[in-house]
Amino acid sequence: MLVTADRPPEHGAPTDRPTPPPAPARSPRAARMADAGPVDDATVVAALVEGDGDALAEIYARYGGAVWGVAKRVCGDRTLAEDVTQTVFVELWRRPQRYDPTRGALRPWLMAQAHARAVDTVRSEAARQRREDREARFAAQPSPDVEADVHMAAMSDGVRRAVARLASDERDAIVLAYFGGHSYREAAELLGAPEGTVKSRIRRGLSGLRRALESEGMTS
Amino acid sequence: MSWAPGDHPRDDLAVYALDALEGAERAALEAHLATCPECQEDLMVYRETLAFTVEDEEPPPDLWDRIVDVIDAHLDAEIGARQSEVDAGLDDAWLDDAGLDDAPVGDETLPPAEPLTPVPPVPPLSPVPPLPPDRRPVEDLPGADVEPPRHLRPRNPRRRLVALVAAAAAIIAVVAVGPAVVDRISGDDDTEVVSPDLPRGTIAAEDGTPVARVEADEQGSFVDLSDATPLGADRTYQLWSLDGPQPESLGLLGLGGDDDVRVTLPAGTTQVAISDEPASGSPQPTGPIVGTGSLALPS
Repeated sequence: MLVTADRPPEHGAPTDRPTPPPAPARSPRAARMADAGPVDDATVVAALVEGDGDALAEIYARYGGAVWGVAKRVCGDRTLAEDVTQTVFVELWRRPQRYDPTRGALRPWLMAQAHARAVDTVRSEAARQRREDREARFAAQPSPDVEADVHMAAMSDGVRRAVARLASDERDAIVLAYFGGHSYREAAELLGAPEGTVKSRIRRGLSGLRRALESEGMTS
Repeated sequence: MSWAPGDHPRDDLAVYALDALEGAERAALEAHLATCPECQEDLMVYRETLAFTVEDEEPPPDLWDRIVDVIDAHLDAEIGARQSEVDAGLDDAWLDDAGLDDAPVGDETLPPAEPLTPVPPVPPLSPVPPLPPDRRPVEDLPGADVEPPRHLRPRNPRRRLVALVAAAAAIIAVVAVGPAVVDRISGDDDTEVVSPDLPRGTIAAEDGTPVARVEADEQGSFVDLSDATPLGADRTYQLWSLDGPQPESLGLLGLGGDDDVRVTLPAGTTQVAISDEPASGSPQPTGPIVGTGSLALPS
């Protein structure tokens, strides 16, 4: 079977576009949505599924910062994070029906897509060197505690307080895996703990984190 | 690994939510997840919890433009390539006669074709991608609420999408009535028409191992990727011209495999490369270069 190559972007080519706005512009359609009152995420995604490309601008305006935030935290590199963010939104445009509103809100779903791609990126051979260079800035051989502390330093006060409530072994396992992009096996090796133990710590830690965030008033 | 009814892989699910589960364990968990509403609910809660731990940050100001560039390129490629297929094999009036211009967007009804031989039922079309978003600020657009997005002017966006649907339908119709076309493209037919004006060549890795071949038939150039290592779903091969001062993208080639990929090479293209890129492609190579090659006209 013969298929056709996706045509590449013509970067650097002259363009009649105006200077892009500093933030994603609300499209005419999105503006009408706003005028009509708050539009829930499921409605915007449904518009995208129906072929309304303007809906993507609305979704980017709402959650571009969240996707970028998780991509940058995990990748630790702006160029890689830009690729991840771009991929997440182009994929949403190509296959918006992959999002099922009955399985959760759009923001965490998009962030999960971004996280998965960011983890793939940092585990790839091409990215490994950049990552090592980044980590070398903190320590020649960063201990798990140091790596966890580095990631925690980037958290908001409330989240940091919630994470600090966890047992340190649970906290380290979650932070190494989620923010460090390590597999649980790698985390086990870094922590010097049995793999099964690390799995259990991650589950207990996630449950505890939920409760801690609730007590910080951050989950409403 | 599988779990008995009522038994749930709770530890693995938590690890999976962190994207820290790999290989067979991940596959087993996903298989369970597909049929377990309880674990789907737990995963949703985990993801919500994790989402609270990351602050929103302002993305780079030009990132949205890059996203729209890629989407524009996807649309242009689909329309251009499919239109060229239509031009090559079908009279434009055929589309008008079929009434497709009046078809609603997304209508997957195929036009009546005139088969040369009995044909099997035509499969439904893939969903047409939605239009790309308009990046222009509303305040910069007088009458913006009625003006179509820049990249669709002056054509009506719905007509453009209809053209896409029509072109896709035409391709399927051609394939359905003309299996010989497919055979010739796949190289199984000794009567293949040589296109002397189009260059050919092998793209090889650094150690000389062939990765891909640039070939041509009467419809144009294409890339045979059957020797390339298949990529994961989040990646794509991308073809580059190395003839200019910096690499120029010639198209996304997909994941590799047995399907040949049609490409359009600018006249005079001689030096090319293939790299491994994120699924949406890159303006400049970012992934590993998997091979390079020189193209030449057949003697």
